[in-house]
Amino acid sequence: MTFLFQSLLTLGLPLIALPLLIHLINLRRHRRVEWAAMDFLLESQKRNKKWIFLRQLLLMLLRTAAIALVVFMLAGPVLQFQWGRLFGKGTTHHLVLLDDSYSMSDRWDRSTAFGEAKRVVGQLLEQASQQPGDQKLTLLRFSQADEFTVGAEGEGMEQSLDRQSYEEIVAKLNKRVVAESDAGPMAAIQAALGLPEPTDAETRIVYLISDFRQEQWQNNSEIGELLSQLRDQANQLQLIQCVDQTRPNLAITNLEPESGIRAAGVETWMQLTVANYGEETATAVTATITQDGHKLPAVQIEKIAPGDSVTRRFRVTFASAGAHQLQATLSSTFQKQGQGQGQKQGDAIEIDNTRYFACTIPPEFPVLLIDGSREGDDGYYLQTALNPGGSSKPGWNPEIQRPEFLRQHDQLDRYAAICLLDVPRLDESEVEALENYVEQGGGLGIFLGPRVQKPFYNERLFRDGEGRDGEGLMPVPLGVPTQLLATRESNRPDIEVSDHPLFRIFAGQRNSFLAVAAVNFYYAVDASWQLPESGKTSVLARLRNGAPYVVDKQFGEGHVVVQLSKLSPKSTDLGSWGNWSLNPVFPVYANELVGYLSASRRQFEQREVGSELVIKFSEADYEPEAEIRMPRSKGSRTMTVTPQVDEGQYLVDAGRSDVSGIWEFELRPREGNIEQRLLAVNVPLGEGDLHHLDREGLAQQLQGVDYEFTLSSQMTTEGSSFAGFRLGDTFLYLLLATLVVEQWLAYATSYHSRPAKNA
Amino acid sequence: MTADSKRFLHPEAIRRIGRLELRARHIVEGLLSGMHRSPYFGQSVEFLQHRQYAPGDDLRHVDWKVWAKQDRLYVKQFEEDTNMRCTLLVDVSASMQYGSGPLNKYEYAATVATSLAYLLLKQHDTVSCIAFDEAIRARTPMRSTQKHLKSIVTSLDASDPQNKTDTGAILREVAEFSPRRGMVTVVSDLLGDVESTLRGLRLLRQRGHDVLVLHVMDDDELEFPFEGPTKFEGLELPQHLTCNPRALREGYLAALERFLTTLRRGCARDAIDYKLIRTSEPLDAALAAFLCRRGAGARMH
Repeated sequence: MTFLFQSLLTLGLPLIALPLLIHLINLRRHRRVEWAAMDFLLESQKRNKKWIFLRQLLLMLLRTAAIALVVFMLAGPVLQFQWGRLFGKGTTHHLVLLDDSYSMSDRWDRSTAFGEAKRVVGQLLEQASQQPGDQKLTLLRFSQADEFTVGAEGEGMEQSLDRQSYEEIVAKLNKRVVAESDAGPMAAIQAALGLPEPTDAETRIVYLISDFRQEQWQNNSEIGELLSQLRDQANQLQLIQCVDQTRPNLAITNLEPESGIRAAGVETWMQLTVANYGEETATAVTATITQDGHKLPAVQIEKIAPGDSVTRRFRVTFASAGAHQLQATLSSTFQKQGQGQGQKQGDAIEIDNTRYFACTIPPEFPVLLIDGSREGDDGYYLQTALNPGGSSKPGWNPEIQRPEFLRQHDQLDRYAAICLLDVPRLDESEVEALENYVEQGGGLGIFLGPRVQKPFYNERLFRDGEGRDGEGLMPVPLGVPTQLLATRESNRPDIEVSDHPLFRIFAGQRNSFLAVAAVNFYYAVDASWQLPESGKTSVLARLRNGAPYVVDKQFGEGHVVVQLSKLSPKSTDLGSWGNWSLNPVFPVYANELVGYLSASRRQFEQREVGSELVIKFSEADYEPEAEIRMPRSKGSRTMTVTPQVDEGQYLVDAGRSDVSGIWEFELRPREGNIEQRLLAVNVPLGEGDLHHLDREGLAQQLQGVDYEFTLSSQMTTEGSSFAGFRLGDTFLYLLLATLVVEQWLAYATSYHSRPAKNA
Repeated sequence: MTADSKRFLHPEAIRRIGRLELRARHIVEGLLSGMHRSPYFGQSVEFLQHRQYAPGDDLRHVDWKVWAKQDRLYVKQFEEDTNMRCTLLVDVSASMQYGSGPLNKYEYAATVATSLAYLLLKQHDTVSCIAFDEAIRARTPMRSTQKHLKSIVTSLDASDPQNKTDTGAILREVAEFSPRRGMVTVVSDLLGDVESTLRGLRLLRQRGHDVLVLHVMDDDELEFPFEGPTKFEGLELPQHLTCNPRALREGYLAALERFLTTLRRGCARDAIDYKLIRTSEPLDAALAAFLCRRGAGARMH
């Protein structure tokens, strides 16, 4: 048995002599009475002498015991597993599973959840280091659980614990900060289960120190099963919670281009999403935007309801080709609804207040236009719309090719998007090449025309029920070319658009340019066709008679957008199909269409903390050397690595990203200047949701698991006694029992004063 | 006796009266004023006066002739013609010095003895007083004059309460040297050898004396209410005892009860009147016991 407050024991133990001292003092403090009837008194004394002595002795012993019990109780007795040691079980193994995910950076007053956790671990280690017998510690952080290997001599792995090692471990622990990961308890528990089972000579105590967030713990029966297994291996299982309430937290959950990036000098719409994980509405939320180190106008969000997310758009132009970066940061304070100006609410977690975006901007994006029209006029109109020439910088480089070009399968990947313009038909390999291209994120635009062979489109491209995954590239089966008849509603435009980014140019306007768009002929959709329930196909624009005009379909990771009419306004055998390509807003539409189609290819990468950072570059074009610069916010550490060679390409592996920010890779081309590539690494989403399970919630979740639950805040006052059985309560009960017996004996021995007699 | 008259006989009231003679007068007059029946007008041939009948008067004393003439009840009163010889034995040993109330046992006993002497002398009875401890310390002759009261008081007052008691020996000595029968009243705490005491009392009875024992005890001695560490030092014995009195109380009371029972039974067996008197009680108890005994004695003789 050890004591938490040894000094209290040292000071208090001499007090057990107090009853004897009082007895001796009382012997000298007696009252003196001159007494006549001494004979009776002496007779009584003679008869009761032995009993009186025995009872007085017992009473003094009880009083001494009571004082000793009070001292022991206050000194915080902890019963070690001495029985085990008596029989040769000499080792106590403290297995600490420490949650260091970034939700543990939850801050309040002058403390954080992780700070609390470190304090608890320190307290535990201090106590363990003072215990007799062998003490071992395994400290397993959630974020390192994936890399945990049994028998490795890493930090905190089955270290022997004594006073010196305790100080070293605590010093290291105090320097540690939360990881920027969302590592949950599962990996850590599984790693703990991977440890060798304790022998008879070992007493194992498992401490799980976490914030017990709902997202990871609720409705997760697997945790209960794993903890149950862990409990079977250990002698004790202690769950220690470091937070006691849910604090407000905002997080940026998205920072991406709205519809793909644009070429250098072209304006790009970015979208920023902020989530409110708190329980009160946040108002006047401000996000500052930094582009390549220069501040842009801040994005303001008036109000975010609890549990809701709000998205805002803002424009960015990357002036030059090359690597660029964006950073959005929320202010660390915001107003709660109902608060006055100047009253700010602190944000619990800072790590998720910043989000990064990086991309490599090309000078322009090549777009492949496969023109199958007889005169090649379709290609002309689209090419002109995408790149009118002159001083304008649309960022597209349209390239007109004949359908045979599609046979060069390996060439397709370099195009941001492909458009089929009145292409009569394709052979099977061309269809397959296109399907592969779209499936891997490419965008395909299809404009119909009189040369289109309807059976081919229906059988080979629509392929209802026969294609990959039961469907083909075409979203709709084609009927016959149909004339859009005039109606009496002269004011009604021929084309009615939906709320889609493609037609955002018309949003908020009074359809001034849409009204002049005329459609004469179009391919009616087969009457039997109905909009699929899968949600992958949507009609973006309809004609005034309700017939689909522009239809979008998701195919694999890419999109196919079909315009069921001819692009060129020139006259055909049927006459002119329409004047849409002559409309003043057609160039905008064409740009949006190609941008939308190319967006699926995601010319940028978003990584999460914990992902492997590997880049590839050509062996022929680059020197075998790369320099990696870690995010500036984390000290900007630079590493020079020699890449591995794999099938003609160099592989640079920066390892697992453990911090968020912009990682810079500097490559040395064999010709030309140093090339920079950027990778944006962001914290995982969802970890900022600070709702946690309380004691009852955990009890419900972990039914059948034998554990002890403690709030870290309570351990401040109670003192810690994890590594053994707390005897404080036992001593209290013993004290009460002793006092009861003492009182009874004192009463029986007539030491109690009598109540005053009534007059 | 009324409550008012009893109030004046309480030890606290008596204590305020310094002189023993005055105390005795106060007690006796107070006692008698509360009694309906005249206690000390006895049988005699010499008529003294008539008095109107009061409830409780002996019907034998009613003057029937007067009743026949006037239709009123009168009783006849005669000059007392007494032949009473009373010896007062008062314990003045050291043990009598104990007291927790207004009067200690000695003061109480002396007051009782003086009051009895006053009462007796007022009736022209002859009274003698003996103050004793282990031996006779003072002795007054048998007289019936009023002046004799002073010598009785002197004999009680002059006693030096320092010695042990040997009541049995004193009683035997009194029995030996009192040839004429009379009434012997013992006022003592009787602490000592109880068998010896009883033998002395029995001897007095055998010599034809009426014996009245007024056993004076303090409340503390009867109840033993002490608490807390206490050192008891013997008033007569050289022993002392340091103890927790509560622990010994039960045994003490048992020993005391055995002592009292022995006394009561011994007295009853020998037709000795025994009266246990607490020093906290009004003094009329002792006097009433005496008068009761005297009345019985008069009827007997």
